Amino acid sequence: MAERNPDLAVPVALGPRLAPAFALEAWSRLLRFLRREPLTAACAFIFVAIVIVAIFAPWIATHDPLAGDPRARLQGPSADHFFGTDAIGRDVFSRVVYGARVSLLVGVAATLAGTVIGAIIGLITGYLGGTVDLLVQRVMDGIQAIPALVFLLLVAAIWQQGMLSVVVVLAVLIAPYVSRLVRGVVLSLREEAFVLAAQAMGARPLRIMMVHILPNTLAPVLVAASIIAGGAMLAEGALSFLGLGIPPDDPLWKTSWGAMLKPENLQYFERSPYLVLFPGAALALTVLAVNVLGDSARDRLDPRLRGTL
Amino acid sequence: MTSYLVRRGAASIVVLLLVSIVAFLLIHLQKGDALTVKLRQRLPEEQVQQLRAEMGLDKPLWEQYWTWLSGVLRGDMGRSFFREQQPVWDRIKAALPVTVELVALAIVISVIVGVPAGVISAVRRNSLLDQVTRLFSVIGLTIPVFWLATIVLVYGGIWFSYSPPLTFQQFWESPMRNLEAMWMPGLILGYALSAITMRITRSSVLEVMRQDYVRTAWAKGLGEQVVIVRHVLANSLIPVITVLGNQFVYIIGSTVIVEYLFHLPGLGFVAFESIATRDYFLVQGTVLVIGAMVVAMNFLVDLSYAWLDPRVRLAGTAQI
Repeated sequence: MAERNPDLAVPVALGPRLAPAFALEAWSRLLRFLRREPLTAACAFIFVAIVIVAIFAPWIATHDPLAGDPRARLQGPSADHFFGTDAIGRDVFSRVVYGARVSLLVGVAATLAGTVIGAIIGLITGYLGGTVDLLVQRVMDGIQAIPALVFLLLVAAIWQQGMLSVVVVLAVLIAPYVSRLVRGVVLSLREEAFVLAAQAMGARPLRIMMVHILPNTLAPVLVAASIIAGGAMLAEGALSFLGLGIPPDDPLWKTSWGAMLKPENLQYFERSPYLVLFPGAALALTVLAVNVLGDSARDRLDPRLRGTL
Repeated sequence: MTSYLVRRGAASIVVLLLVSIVAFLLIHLQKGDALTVKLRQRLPEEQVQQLRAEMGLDKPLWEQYWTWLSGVLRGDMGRSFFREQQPVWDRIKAALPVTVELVALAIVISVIVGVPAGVISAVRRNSLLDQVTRLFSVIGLTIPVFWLATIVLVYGGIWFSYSPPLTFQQFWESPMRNLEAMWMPGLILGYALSAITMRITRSSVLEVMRQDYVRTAWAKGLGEQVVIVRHVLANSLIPVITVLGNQFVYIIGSTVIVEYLFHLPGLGFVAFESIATRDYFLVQGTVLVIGAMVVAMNFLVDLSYAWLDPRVRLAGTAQI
């Protein structure tokens, strides 16, 4: 079967006391990683680039993403406007750059919040079982029986649209998914010898959950988190696209990739079709990078699955 | 077996009840009720109050919920606040076939494309064909549906002068006109779904191909076709069905986008429009019907386990 992958040690090898031989070793490992998994390497590069763009957006953007220049409407890509300009003369490149912030922040914040809430629920219901478990499970079923986009539309209309409401609602939708995953792991661990031993020694439920069970759920949750984050970014895009997420002229966040593709602009897209390309490609590339990196992490955590997905 | 089905059925009803509560609460928690949207023009306060009382909006929430739910159980979903107060059920009855057809198209396309592609990709693992299929699948998994649909509309219009018909006809009225409107949205959803189907089929086939009985089948000297179709494929379909069932809710959600962009008068479009106008009864009815479809689909998936997997079928009262 698949042998252990030595490439796993790449980041670890770059410790503070980097002896020359060690550096050489790390270098050859990096080269081997590039040769063996070019797709993963490319996605790691893309992901790092997007993170850098998001952090340093104000320095990378060439124009104010909200200021339209009425003399330069619907221009094609040029040296001044790399990605051209939109219907009211805003620089598309600068807008795409700022869009990276929204996408990454939504992906990270919603995934983090949803995963923590879901993990707590899954841990408690899975370990305690009984009526509480049954009740919570049905509530989760209820939330999951409504399509995410319909749910988002319903809630987005309650609050004023914006970053906070998008993140909170996505977290509410992510929590049931994670809770199910964690609950499944907990159920299989509950009867394991080391848990029974801890119970026999008189450990309290909270201690067993935190010390003995929680660490074992980390690997599957981490792997799922990349898929979840990708999904959250796509959902934010769709919501902004339908006009209920981040608006295309938000004073703080500037714009979202989804908002740049709003169907109200279809008539302009037909005149300058490249307007459609850049924001969508940015979102697709980001989601692709996140998913591929997650797959690669899964293969490392569970070598049995390598190459099967 | 029977008790398993009864338990799943009872759980489904509880879930539906919860869906009705969630749908009701979410739309009623919104600032400003249907009246503020309906009455763009200013009316004297007492007249507004009177209208509110007529529509039953002045009663406590639980009472409004109960009135609505008992109506639904009697087969009366209330009336829309707009469009001459058309009964909600009439609206849903017209929209339901559109969405069902769209989802069915997507599922059929995904099975026709995804299952064979997944099997070939697994059997010829790491070949060029496998690489190409996997790339196709990865793109399908990550490309945003709303972007793909916009690209089709914009570039399809420019390069192939494609544009969706502006009027819609049901399949039974005019099959050709109907398919003319449906084929492209169906293809878009079908591509997204077939990417997932292909991925799961591939990994499931690879898993089954490692089993002892498959090695035995090879050792007996059976031909490749017999081994793959009779021994491998038959046993790798269960995860595929599970995933298709789970993806059903996602595809229904995506219909909101394609129905909106391609002017299809389906449930997703009705949901979008009614939420924007706060047409309470229409929102509640639509979300309930969508929820019922999802719950019914999950129930069917459970049934299919029992049918496909003799271990579940014969387990009797196994705990699930």
